[in-house]
Amino acid sequence: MLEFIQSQISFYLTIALVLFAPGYFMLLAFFGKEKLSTLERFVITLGLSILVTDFLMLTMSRVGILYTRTSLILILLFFSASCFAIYKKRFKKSPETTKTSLFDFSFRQSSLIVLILFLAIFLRSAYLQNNLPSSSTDLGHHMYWSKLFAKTGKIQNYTQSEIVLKNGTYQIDAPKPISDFVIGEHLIFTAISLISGASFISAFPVSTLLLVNIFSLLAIFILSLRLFKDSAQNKNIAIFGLLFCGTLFVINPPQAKFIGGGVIGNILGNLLIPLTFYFYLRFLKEKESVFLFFALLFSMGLFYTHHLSGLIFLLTFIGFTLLALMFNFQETKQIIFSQKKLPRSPLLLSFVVFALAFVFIVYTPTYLTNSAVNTVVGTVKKVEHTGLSMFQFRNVLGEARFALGSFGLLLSFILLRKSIHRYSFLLMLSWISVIALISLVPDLVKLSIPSGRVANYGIYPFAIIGAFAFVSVFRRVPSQSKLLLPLGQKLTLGAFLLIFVFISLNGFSDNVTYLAKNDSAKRTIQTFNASEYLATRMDGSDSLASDHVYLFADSWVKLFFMRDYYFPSYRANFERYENGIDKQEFCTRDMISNPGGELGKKCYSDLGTNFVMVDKIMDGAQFQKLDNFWQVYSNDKINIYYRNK
Amino acid sequence: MSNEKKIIILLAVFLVTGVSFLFYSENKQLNSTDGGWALYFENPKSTDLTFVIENRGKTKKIHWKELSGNPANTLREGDVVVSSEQKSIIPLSGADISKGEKITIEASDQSDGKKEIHKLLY
Repeated sequence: MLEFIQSQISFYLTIALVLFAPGYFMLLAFFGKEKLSTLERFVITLGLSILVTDFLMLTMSRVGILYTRTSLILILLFFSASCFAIYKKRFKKSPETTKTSLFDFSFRQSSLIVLILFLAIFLRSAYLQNNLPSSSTDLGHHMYWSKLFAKTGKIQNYTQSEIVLKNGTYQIDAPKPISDFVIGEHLIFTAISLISGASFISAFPVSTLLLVNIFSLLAIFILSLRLFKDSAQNKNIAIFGLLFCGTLFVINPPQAKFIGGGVIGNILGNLLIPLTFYFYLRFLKEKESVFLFFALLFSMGLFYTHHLSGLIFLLTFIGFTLLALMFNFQETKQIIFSQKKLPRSPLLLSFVVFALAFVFIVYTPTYLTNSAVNTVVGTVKKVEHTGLSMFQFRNVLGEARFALGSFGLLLSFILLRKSIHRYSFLLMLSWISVIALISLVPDLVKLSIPSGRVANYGIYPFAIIGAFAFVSVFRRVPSQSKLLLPLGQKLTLGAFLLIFVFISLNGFSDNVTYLAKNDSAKRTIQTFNASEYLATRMDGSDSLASDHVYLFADSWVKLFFMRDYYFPSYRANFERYENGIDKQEFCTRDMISNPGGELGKKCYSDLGTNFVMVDKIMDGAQFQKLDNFWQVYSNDKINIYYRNK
Repeated sequence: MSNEKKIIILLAVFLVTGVSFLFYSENKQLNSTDGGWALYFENPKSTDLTFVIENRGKTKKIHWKELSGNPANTLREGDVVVSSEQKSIIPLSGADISKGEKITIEASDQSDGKKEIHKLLY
């Protein structure tokens, strides 16, 4: 128990150092205690700390400082202390935190916010505890890279070797760059593990993602408040927005399922996108270059963290600018051309120098150097990229959220010209349109991206605009004002309760479906035990084949060996061999499915594979009848075979 | 203290509780989940027949047999009690086994859970 408490203290201190200190002190250095409320500073701190930690670690790797516990602690402390010194110099009198009525919540509002946050954390934790130890494929892949950086003390190229047929012999090809990963997805896990000593095969990655996910809800909350700052209902809109994205359909992607599933890029992106818009919005309204500086910094950070999130942001930004020019040409033109001093702002000039130096000297994101853009732009080929039906799109967003969001969109379109929130509406329109276009009609926009993944980005803008619609319909208005719904007070209250009950039942019933116990822990432990057995008995001359189809948590096996991203080789899902795109070789399939067949035998011989790990029920039979495969290990789920050459 | 600060403090408390709960749950799952037991050769690549029964669940009494040929002849057998999180190493030599013979180690617990491993000696 003492060990557990020690590890917990170490973990929280590390989280404070990696995910809070750099961002907090940087915000202090730039804003002092002005311009941002306490809650805004708290929320932005996490997103900014992620970016600062990434940038610092990339610079360390570039100048040859190895990642160790000491070096990371010193660098993070040095950065935070420097920012604090700047703050002390710039803000000598240290005024009190700016108090704005925007964040002056009543007791009832505060209670509601606390209750929503409690439910959001409780429901996510309840789901996630059934999925520990982690077994998800994506998280296993990601943690390989984070562990590799921790093990080698520096960033490594994202490469992967594949089996190819050359001169009639199967062999492992030279490593080729892969574009699936972005550096910002991995560095914070490397830092947390090195500093806290937490194992990558533990609850720490999932806990970190839970933290990020909860902060993304708060990012939506502060963005909503700023979007509808001039509305008397701003707090109610923000609170309902928090409710709709925080507690309804909690388990569905991109919430708890993405946390447990280790969809790191989307989770980080869903925090950084609203924060980026937050700073652009504040610049648009307050015209201060410091907001533009942070907007640009967050935009840059997005592209160092997740390419898909970066793309969604970029397209939304372009869409917003075009819509603003289209619907509000005179005012938008005036805003753009009134910023003549901006190009000479030292702050912005320093950002441009920093960004250029970073991209060209320190680190260029791999998806740019690999020309991955070419694989995304063009004709859509893969089945999962061909677009969702409207029914599927609705299911991804959640029925209630989709209905409210659609109504909100319609309402905002109607109110667009006359409303004081027109720029907020235009941002929402652009954000939702980009997501809807790529998810529903990717061929039209010529973007080949997993449609379901893109649709998941929609829940946040749908929650905001849905909350706006909900509050607009049921707000209490002074007697002389016109009601949106010309109903009596009792009827309005009845309708409110009816719709609220529908939304809640719809959203919560979905949560209950996923909270049932499962046996994933037992199955995961079997895979880990078998991997441990092999890791202690195999040497560099041995090679292993594994299976993704029936083995649970198989992507985590490579963390026991740390030999290569493609070690062990594995049999992929069967359709990947049949679609003519994903798998060009059949060795990995036949070495498991038909080890006694001609191709299977040749692959074993050519590749020198001598160990096989398979599900004993599903794949044990074909090995048991072969004399040259010794069954050397057996637990409740897994058999390991040794091929005696 | 403003309500805004109270929200932040309560959020921090919820988050620490939630995250600690996840760590605790994982710890508990790892310790209390019946990880079952495994049967394996200590040296998978050699003809050495020494095998191990490793127990990741509750204490078990396991009966093992060394079998050879078809139909199988029992060469040796025995019982072993393996405590939780412990392993029992049973040394067996393959020296007295003739070449080309398939040796199977079969082990079963009291609840009829049966596992086997084998080597074909050359």
